[in-house]
Amino acid sequence: MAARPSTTGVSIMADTHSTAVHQDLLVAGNKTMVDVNEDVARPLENFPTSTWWACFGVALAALGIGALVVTTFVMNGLGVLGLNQPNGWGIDIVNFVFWVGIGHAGTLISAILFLFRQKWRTAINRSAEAMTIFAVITALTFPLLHTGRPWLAAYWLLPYPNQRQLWVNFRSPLLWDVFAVGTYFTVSAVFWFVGLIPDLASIRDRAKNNIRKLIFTILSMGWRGSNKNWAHYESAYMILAGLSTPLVLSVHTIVSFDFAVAQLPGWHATIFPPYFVAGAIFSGFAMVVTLLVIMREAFNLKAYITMDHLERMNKIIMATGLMVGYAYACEFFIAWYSGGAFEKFIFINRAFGPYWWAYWTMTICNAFIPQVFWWRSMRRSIPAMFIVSLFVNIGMWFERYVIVATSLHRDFLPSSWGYYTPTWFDWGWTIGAFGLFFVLFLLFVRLLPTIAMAEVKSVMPQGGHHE
Amino acid sequence: MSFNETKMENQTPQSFSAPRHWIAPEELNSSYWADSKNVEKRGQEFHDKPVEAIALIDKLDTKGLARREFLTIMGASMAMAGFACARRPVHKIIPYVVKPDEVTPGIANYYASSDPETGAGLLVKVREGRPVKLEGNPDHPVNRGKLSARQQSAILDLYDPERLQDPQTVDRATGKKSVATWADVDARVVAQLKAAGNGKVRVLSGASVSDSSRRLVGEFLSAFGAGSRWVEFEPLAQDEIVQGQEESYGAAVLPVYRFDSAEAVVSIGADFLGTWPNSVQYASDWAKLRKLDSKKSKTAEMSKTFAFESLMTVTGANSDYRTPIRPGDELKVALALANQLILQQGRSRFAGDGAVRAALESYKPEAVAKEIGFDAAVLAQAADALWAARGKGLVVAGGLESKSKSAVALQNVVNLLNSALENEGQTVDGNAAPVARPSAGFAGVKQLIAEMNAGSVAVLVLHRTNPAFSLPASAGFAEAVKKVGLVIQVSEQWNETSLLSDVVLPDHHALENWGDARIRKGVTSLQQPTLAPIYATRSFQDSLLTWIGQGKLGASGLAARVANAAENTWHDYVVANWKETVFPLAGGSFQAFWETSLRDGVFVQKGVAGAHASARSFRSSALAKTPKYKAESGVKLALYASMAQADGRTSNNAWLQEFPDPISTVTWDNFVAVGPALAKKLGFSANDVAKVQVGSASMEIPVQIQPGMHGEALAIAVGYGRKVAGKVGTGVGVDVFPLVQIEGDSLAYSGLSAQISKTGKFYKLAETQWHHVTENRPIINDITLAEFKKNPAAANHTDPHLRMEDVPTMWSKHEYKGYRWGMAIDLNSCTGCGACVIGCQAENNIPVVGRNNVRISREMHWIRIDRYYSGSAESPDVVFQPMLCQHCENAPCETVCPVLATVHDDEGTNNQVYNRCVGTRYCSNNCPYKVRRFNFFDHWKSYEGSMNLVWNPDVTVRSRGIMEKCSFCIQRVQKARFDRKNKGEKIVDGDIQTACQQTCPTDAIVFGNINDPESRVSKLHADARAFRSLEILNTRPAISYLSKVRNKNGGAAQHHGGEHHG
Repeated sequence: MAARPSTTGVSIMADTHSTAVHQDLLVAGNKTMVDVNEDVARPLENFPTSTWWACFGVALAALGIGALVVTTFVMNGLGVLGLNQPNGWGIDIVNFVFWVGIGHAGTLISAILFLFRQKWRTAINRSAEAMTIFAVITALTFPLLHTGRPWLAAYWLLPYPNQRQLWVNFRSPLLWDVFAVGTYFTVSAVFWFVGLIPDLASIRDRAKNNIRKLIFTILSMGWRGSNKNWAHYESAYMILAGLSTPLVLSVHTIVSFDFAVAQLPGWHATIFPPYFVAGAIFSGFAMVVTLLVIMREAFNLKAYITMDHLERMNKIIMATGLMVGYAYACEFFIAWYSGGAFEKFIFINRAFGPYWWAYWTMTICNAFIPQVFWWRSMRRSIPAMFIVSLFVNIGMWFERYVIVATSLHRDFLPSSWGYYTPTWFDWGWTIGAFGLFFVLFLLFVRLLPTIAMAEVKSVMPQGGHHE
Repeated sequence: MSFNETKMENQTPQSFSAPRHWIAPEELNSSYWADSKNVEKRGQEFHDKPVEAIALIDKLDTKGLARREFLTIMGASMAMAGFACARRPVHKIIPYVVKPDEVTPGIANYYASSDPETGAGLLVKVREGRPVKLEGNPDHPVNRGKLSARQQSAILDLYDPERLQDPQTVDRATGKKSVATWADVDARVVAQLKAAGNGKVRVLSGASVSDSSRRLVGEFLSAFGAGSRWVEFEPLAQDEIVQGQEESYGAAVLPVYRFDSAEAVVSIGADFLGTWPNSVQYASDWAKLRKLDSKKSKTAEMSKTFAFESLMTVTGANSDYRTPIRPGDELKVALALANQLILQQGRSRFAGDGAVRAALESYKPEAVAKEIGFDAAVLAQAADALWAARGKGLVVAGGLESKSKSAVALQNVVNLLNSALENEGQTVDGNAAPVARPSAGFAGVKQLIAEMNAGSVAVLVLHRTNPAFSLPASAGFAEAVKKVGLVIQVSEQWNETSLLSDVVLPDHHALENWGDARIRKGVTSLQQPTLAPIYATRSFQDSLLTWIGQGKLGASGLAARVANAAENTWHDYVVANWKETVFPLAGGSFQAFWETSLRDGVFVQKGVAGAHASARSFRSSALAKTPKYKAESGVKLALYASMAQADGRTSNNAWLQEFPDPISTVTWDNFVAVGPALAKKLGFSANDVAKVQVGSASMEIPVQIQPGMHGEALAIAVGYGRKVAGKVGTGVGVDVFPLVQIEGDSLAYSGLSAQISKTGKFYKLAETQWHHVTENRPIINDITLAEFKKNPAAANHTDPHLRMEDVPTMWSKHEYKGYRWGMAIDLNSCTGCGACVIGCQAENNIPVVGRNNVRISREMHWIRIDRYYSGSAESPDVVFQPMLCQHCENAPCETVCPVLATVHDDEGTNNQVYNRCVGTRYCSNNCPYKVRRFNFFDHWKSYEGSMNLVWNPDVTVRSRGIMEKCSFCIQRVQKARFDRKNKGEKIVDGDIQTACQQTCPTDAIVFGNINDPESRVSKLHADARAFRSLEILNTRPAISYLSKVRNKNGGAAQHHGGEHHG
């Protein structure tokens, strides 16, 4: 195997031999290796377009709304949100789970598909990983700021040594969350950054501006593209991929424990870990499709993010959608089969109680709409997949809403039953979260290479692997 | 301990001489003391008003911030933001230089006193000179250590920042008020009193239970010639009972009922367990015959209670047979019952009495039952039960909701029944009432209004009354009072009547004043101040004495002697009056007698108090005016007094506004209660706004659909809709006093023909409970006496799959080696009155959250009364269940808290560590009982300014962002532990009473050590009736409930909503 000692050259992912994928599917349009660099680096090296500014402005405004809302309730108390006595959690936790779920696709694409030698991932793994990291950042704001005293929660949930010998509660799923999400964020960030290094070096080498050169010199950590560099890089990448893979399963498993470990009917279910992981992948892939469809239009990356890529993604969406649909059905079956009166009530209440609209939104969006992907034409239709991916995102948001709100609002004692209605502050924070995510993502597409140039080159006909 | 050594009254100006010891140099200057404000400040609890002082510390009113101030504050906060690491300012606790006797920081003193409204005996808990809680005086033979929700909440009024703080003069024409000094006011009043002319002075007040006060007012009025009268008026007066007694037996007394020996009780519109003035005693007595011991279940006996009522009351909810009737039907029901008993069954010595027969003849039980729409069999059952228990039964009626135009006639029939059943002299005691007192009904005020209109009133003194609010406008009080030369109002609060007065004088709160009370023959209690006056207030009685003394008015008797003596205060008057009137009953040395009485709070004359009376003979002539039976139809309205607000005098009390009504659970509003059938007929759903019209008066008011209401009945609580009450009370609810009808010399509150229609508007009531059936879940247990006799552990109404006493477990159970705290709550004793809710609120510094937060289920009460209906919506059965932290052995909250802020201790309590809590609310989500309360805002700020002083120093005040819940009054457990430890002893049963237990009138709540097999709580835990709520979850609560047992037929046929399982 030939590793080329070129800083702008082709990375040879030493052991990513693939025979399963026809390379002409992966990069279309007769691109040369130079074209790859030009195409990918173009957004970084030019002034932003008015479209970018427009998008950024909108995202920043949304973030501003969120900041305003968060400031208000941190200063005055959580009472401005719609939370109440039975509903101790509301759409803040819905958003947390939603964003953590979104984050999953990134790691799945970058790590698991990498280990399974799915070479088609190369075009999308960078942005998917970026999405993961930004989604986790966005997600983390929720559990922290929705606590009553976030200024203390920020560090009291960490097991740090202190003179009062106060310790955290290792039995609490929330603590497991801190570890799981924390680990996930750290590993994902390192994985992403390591993957970026060769491309950062390419940008460094192309830089004409001194400041730019300095920044990218520091970021590329002295990458020279030597054999030794590549060898170390690739083993590091492989190890990190290996480390990330179990995290894909563990994070959402543990997030699901927040619910499953509680004794609340509607939460207390052993099906939650696989159900949540499938749901996370489902929603994550939908989000990736949403973003890629926009990105390949906006930055003219159609040659790299091809219809074949998207079709594969859509297949995964459909498969995971079926799993999620199965889980919905299974919950009802168990509620009936177990004979548990509380369990039975909560599921009937879900579908036909005051939150029926949320339940049926969820079911239709997640279990029924993705069925259109049985048809190849739908899988390959940009408008169809865009709409379906949006519906899946909406449906998955509502799935968490259904789990959080409907289970809490009517639990064991009918005397304490209530109803949860989000307020404008809840929605403002939700909008702010999208703002935060898109601000970060838009900055990313301006500042860092959105496609792993080195990896893409390896799957081009001119690249290292000719069968 | 007593206050007899400490003079706490104000010094009146004429007795003042500059003090020998001065505080500030300006006090040496004689002109300083010329300003009477400075004189008045001496003797007050605070030199600066606490509101102002505290307001300066913790409140910046941003609304009034000028631009420059804003910039200054902004600049300062920016600068301070730069010093983020600066330490908080140090507030030093300054120890006493000379420690007052009796006061030890951290140790509470308890002083016996009494409530001037109801005469109940109080124990005032005082910490470092501040009263912080009111508890019942266990030595008082009437309330026996228990207080109602309203009685306990009086402590909050003491610290209300909106209390009147200075004398005010009001320009009646413009309504402009200005602050005056006592000296100026007194001069003006005395001049007017002297000029008033013979017989032209009137005092109008609420009913008084104080002998000393009554004597003083009488002597004061004696100075103004015959015709100067004292008029008492209470909107909630039970004057119809008094009048009925007079017509039936010849003496105008309010009888005392002995529910503790009443084995069969029939209530006809009488809420004796809820809103009657003596409900604490009556509930306590009534519950004595409802206590059951499962060990003797085979021979168990329990009293049987029947209720016929037009709205769902606490009494009806607790009765075994409850029959909904229309407002105004009470008389018919009583006559039909009498007809059943005396004519149909031919029982009693009245069976042959012609007058009685003539009166009852036309009221055939079947006809009456058919007209009203109930099964006549219930009348027969009631008659049988009463006859079987004759001499040990009781028929009662009376109260606002049955005060229709035939209220007195109803009393006469009730008296007939009690006499016929030989209950008179046994369970009805006409001799236990104190001396006959004038009726506080409408007749007196009516005459007063006529006199005012005739111009024969020159000076009117108003005390503890608010006629501008509580009389219907058609009574014409507001117009009449304009013709009075000088209107003086003595009041704690600025209210509607203040606007009609010339001079408004701030009155002492009961806890700042002396006094006495007599509500039973032979039982006289003392009221003593527990802190010096907070503001420049003066008691009503001191004002009278001052005017008598200053004006040399020539009042008679003791008043003149005291007013002209050197010791010329109200305190001296009370002492002198006791020396003359009460002391002779005791003998010995007066000083010893006085100190003992003050310490005990009550003097009980042996052989007189509680002595059994002989039966009085019923005068059949009282029935002469009984109308002939005539069927009626149409929707009728009853006005009633709510448990929280009564007649609305305490509407500025936030505890009471947020007190959930025991039946409707609505807070912060009144509403028109409409039965399900009528609501369906008219197309009302909950929270619709209805227009209710009575005669020409109408108002818009939200609808509450109330199960158990008759299909032609409406009910609305009075006491809401205050226009001038204060920040809390003004504008809460709708004022329905304008709907009251004048019927001759009395007011009709019930049986009013009303129209109700839709308005299309919507108003969301702030309820604390939204769902009213148990869904067959294993939450409560509700059986009949027959079932209990067969098997005391019987359980029904729940899904049998969900009943599991001992859930199998792989794990070893928790070990509790020393004490293990637990509680037992007897659902059969709990009347749902809610006294525990306010007791807990006062003890544990529980904030109020306001109407909007209650609407979205954010109320903070640590103990709530869950109320479940079963059976039909038209006539449901009711169970009350006090729900509080269950202190589970396997507490679901504990495992999920990430920072260990809620932990189990080795004595079985689940402790919430406020300092550690970061507010994830996971514990609350995982709590199956939903008893945890989250501080969504800084709710403690609801205690504004001086209200901070009501806080119990033993309990942390919680900031926003943290979770709180019932602690089993851990501060009381600790106190008992230390008290015993100091003596080297162990805690024994009864040392610890939680706040809820302490005030529970029926002793439904028992707390103690479950590990001690001899403790009451462990015996109750072992009782066959004991069960734990949601046992199947294996949370293993430390609270056991005891099944509710109904003394009625049927049982298993009833069920609690949803389909019947199993």
